[in-house]
Amino acid sequence: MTTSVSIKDLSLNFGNVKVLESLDLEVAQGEFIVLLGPSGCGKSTLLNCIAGLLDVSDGQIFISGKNVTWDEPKDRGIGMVFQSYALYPQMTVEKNLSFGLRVARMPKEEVEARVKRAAEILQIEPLLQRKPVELSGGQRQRVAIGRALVRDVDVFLFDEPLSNLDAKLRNDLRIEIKRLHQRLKNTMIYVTHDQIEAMTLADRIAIMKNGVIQQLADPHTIYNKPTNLFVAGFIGSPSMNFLKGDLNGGTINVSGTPIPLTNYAFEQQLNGAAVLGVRPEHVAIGEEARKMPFQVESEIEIVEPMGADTVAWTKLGGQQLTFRAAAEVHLEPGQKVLIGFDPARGSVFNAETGNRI
Amino acid sequence: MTQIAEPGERAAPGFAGTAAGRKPRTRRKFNIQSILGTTPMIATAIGVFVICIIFSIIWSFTSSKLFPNFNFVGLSQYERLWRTDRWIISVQNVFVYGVLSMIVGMVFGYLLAVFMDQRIRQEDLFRSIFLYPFAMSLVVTGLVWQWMFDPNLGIQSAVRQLGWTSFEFAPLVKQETALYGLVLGGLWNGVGVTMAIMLAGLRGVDAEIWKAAKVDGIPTWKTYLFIVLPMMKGAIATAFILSATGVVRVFDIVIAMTQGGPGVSTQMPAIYVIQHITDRANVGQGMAAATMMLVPVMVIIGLQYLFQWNAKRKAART
Amino acid sequence: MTTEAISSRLPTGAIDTSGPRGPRPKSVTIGRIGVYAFLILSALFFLLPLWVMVVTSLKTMPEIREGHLFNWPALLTFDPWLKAWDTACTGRDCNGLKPGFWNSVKITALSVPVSIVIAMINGYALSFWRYKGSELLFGILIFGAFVPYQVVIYPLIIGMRELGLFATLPGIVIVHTIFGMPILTLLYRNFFASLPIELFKAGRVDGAGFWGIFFRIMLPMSVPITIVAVILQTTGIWNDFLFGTVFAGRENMPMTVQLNNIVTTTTGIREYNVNMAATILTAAVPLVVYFISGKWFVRGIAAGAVKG
Repeated sequence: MTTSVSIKDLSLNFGNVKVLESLDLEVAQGEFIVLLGPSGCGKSTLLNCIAGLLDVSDGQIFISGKNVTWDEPKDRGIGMVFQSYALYPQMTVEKNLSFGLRVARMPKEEVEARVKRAAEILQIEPLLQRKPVELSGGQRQRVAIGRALVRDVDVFLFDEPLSNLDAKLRNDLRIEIKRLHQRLKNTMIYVTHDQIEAMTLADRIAIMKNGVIQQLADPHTIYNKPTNLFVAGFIGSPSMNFLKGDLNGGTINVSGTPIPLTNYAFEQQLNGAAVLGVRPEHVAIGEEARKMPFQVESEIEIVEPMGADTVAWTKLGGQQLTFRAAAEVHLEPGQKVLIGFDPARGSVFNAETGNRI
Repeated sequence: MTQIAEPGERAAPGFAGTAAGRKPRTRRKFNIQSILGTTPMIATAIGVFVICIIFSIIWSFTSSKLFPNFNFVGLSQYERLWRTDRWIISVQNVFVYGVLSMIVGMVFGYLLAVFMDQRIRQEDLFRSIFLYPFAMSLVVTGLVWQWMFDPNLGIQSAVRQLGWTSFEFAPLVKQETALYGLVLGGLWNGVGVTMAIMLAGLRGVDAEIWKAAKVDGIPTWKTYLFIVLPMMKGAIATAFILSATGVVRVFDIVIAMTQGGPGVSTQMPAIYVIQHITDRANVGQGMAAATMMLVPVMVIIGLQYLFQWNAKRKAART
Repeated sequence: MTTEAISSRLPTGAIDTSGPRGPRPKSVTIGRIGVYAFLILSALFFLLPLWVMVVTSLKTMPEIREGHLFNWPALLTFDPWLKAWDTACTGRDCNGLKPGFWNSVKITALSVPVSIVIAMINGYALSFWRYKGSELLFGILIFGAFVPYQVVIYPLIIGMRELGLFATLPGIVIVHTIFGMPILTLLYRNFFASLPIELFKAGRVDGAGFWGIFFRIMLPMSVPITIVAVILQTTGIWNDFLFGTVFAGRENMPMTVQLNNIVTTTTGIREYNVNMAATILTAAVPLVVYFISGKWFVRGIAAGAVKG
């Protein structure tokens, strides 16, 4: 796999604040990589550094094999799509798409050809003579993507492009972006705080916190084998259950309830305070629970009907546990049910460091 | 418990607030305390801005001399007005002064704002320097520049003493150039404000527009000219209206700098009016001139309404 | 893809020591020099008159007559300042600017609070207690802001005369209040309109009426905008000339009018140093306000310039 974007030992300081610290990242050609994290984690900052809109304090950036650390954004072979679309308001869509090319003195036929191709891919041909104020949010975002498209570049950068849209539009455009990637096969680096966008769009996700990449892996791995407590809690809705307990040998004692961790793929040998993470959808009830290696009777406290399924709240060893049940199953507060799960599918974390054991 | 009039409950047509999407406020037809509290406003609006204007217009149709009378003489004051050289020159002067001040002012103000926008060190210091003249009275402004324009002891002589013996810089001495001296003094006083307004407009431009332009490879100066400037219509309009209203009523600086001279080369309509209701004891003429001064105001207000109406039409189309 | 520890450093993550790394080298471009040059030249343009004022006011007349407008005085003297303050002549009175200064103080000290309080009440009423016709009245007020003073000045004079207020201190205070009302009311109206209406509703729930809510809730909240209003009005009223000439009368002649009289109606020898000293003295108060208020001044302009 050839590397499209390579970031080596990148650091960025704002005064005394270390926003990004010694970051390394390799993005393969044609890969869709998502930078995911809460506000302030540095994902947008990293993207702006890659774009050349921010000066780095240390480190290097390579795009398509070339060292672009000191290059202007226009020379880096990138196109960028912004959260607020940033369309030039006084120009028509057509002018918005072509302005940069005309400034670069591209021949008219070439400009027209590129605009036509972009408009066709994004289905915005009928909008070419309209001004941004006359367009809907979704149309504006397509024009913004078009502006990046006409630049005919290898790498596309997306800075939370769907955050300004309402939920329905967000879903629609998300699919469009995925389709776009499948058609164009360009490298795409995408910043978001929305885990659904990340999970559905990414080839790999880089989850960031405080300027450091916590885990870089494909969505499946991140979901099932999170590398630390932060990642585990960030991905998944409703979030993963965390059961605090004492780890000894191959068993974790959760407030008096021992849970054997046979078949769990331990990466280290550790005893002591630990946290067992179990996803709500991995908890079975009733008949299904009997097939599980670990079972326990528990009383339901709260029932939240979601429509597609139901989320119920109960306690295990005095600690909160949520689980998912099919919508048809009848559940009531106070009802006693048998719940069970396979600890091998869960995640065990060192309670002190938060890292996966 | 006091009855709270929930705006939503009252469907009265007077809720411009709700209709326009603004926060609705309580509104009654007859709010005694409020009316009492705003009596000065009522008195001013009606007493001054309506009644006084009406009287000015009425007296412009009379033969009033030292004291106002109601001896109506039709349009004769206006006829005389437009046959008077002094008046016609005043109008020409204010027009030239206005156009020059506003064009130079807006361009210079915009340039200053653009340069100030470049993340300058000591931005605050520069801004203080550009704005402090506005804190000085126009009388002070006029007097200082009059002194600096002095042919024998001012800038002209100082530069000549430095060696450039044919240097000419005494606009107030000659009739053809006196207006330019006035323009310069006025600009010195007011450009800072134009700059402040433009800078505020510049800073209101979304940072992401700048990023997009950078990624597109558009050079900074082109971004300012083709992208940012068209986005600043609001600030430009504000600066324009502010300067325009100041121009029409220009008075203090002329009195201080040139007293209308030399000759009548810097006569202004405002001075014409004041002179005729004081020294020249011709109230009728003065009122006619004053009424003429109302015309550009009506034009500007008309333009503003046209602009707003047009904008509403465009917004309704989308 | 294996899960890695915190960083994703691949074995081949060696730094390319030959190429560029870290921040871009800052070069002093022509563009940057040009920007500073333009700004510095402009700054000089703006500062020059101030320099000339100060320098001229500290020179002796013989030295002034030698020209050299820009030079620092060879012989420094504060006499012109004393003369301007104490003994300069306006017409027949030779008491210097002193009387004018105190008149301006009186006029400003009275007009500023009166005009602001009235405008505050106006803005408050227009925001929360609209009544039939209140918006129309406000519209007339705004229209009045654009009208040149000369259009209304004569009937106003007559009116003031009839009321016995012409050429009196209360008279000029009223005039300043009238002509300051449009912009100040706009300022306050916009300010109050930007406050959350919950504040007002909470007051109503507590049973407060028009004046109650005004004094207990709105007035304390309006400190920032009032600072701006005070700055605007103090500067504007102190610097006024037109209304001072027409409405103040001889006993209350403000400093600006006196200044103009001293400088432009002198017969005989023109004492440029005294004139410039007088000019500085007149400009002193608003300049001090300006430098003390700093950013508030800019905010005032921006606020006043924002059209409703």
